Amino acid sequence: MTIAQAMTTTSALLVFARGWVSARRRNAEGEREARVVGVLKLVWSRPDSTGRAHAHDALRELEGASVRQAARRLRRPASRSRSASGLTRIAARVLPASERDRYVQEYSAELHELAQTGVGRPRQVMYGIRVITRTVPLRFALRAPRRERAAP
Amino acid sequence: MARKKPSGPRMTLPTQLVLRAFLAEPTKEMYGLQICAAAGLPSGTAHPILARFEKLGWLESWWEDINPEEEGRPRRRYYRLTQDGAERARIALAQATTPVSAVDGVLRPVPGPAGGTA
Repeated sequence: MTIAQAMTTTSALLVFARGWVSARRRNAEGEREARVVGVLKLVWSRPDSTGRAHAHDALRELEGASVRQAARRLRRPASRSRSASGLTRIAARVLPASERDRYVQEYSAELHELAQTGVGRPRQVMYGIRVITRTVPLRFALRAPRRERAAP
Repeated sequence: MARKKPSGPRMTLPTQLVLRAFLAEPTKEMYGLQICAAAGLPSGTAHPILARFEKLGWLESWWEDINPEEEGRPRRRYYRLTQDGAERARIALAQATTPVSAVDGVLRPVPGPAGGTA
């Protein structure tokens, strides 16, 4: 390879690298813009402290999200996580049969509210995990009165 | 000599936080996420506490009177202190060995019904 060829190749590589860096920068700006618009939409939909709190949560969640994920978030509110629903149903199975339906409905209402207020699926799954970890204390609490009556 | 077991509920910190949230507005009805947010607890963690107080008669609960299909969302379960419950809760909080005020600087309330850690 002659010196002229080497210089041509190097300059072509430099042009390509500059273009790539500039495209990355544009993407990053677009992503930032999408995040800000998403957060503003959340605040606009609920202009109270609740809306602000959820917007803050959503912003934290969007950190590290791809452009595609951010755009998806802009198009629709967070959907309900099937995994979280499944976890709450598993939790309800541990409860006394008479109380299962009630808690399935209660957890379902809470998950629905979480999704509607923009809480993403990973945090909904965390909710499901927390519900599961509290199932045994809940079962004891629901069975407690019978034990108290049995005591002298 | 065996120590006498206290007759009331065990006053753990989350228990006290939930009671304090209710006592802030004793006549206000709240649903699970609201209670967690008001108490500064992560969402989904208050149900055992609520169940305990409901069985003791300190709290009453009922389903929201809506048509879920019309509203496009499931019914919420609302909780409220009973008159007797409010009185007992005040006494229990006053007698708690580790008052919530002692850890006020450590625990930070979570804003919004979803709780910051939803």
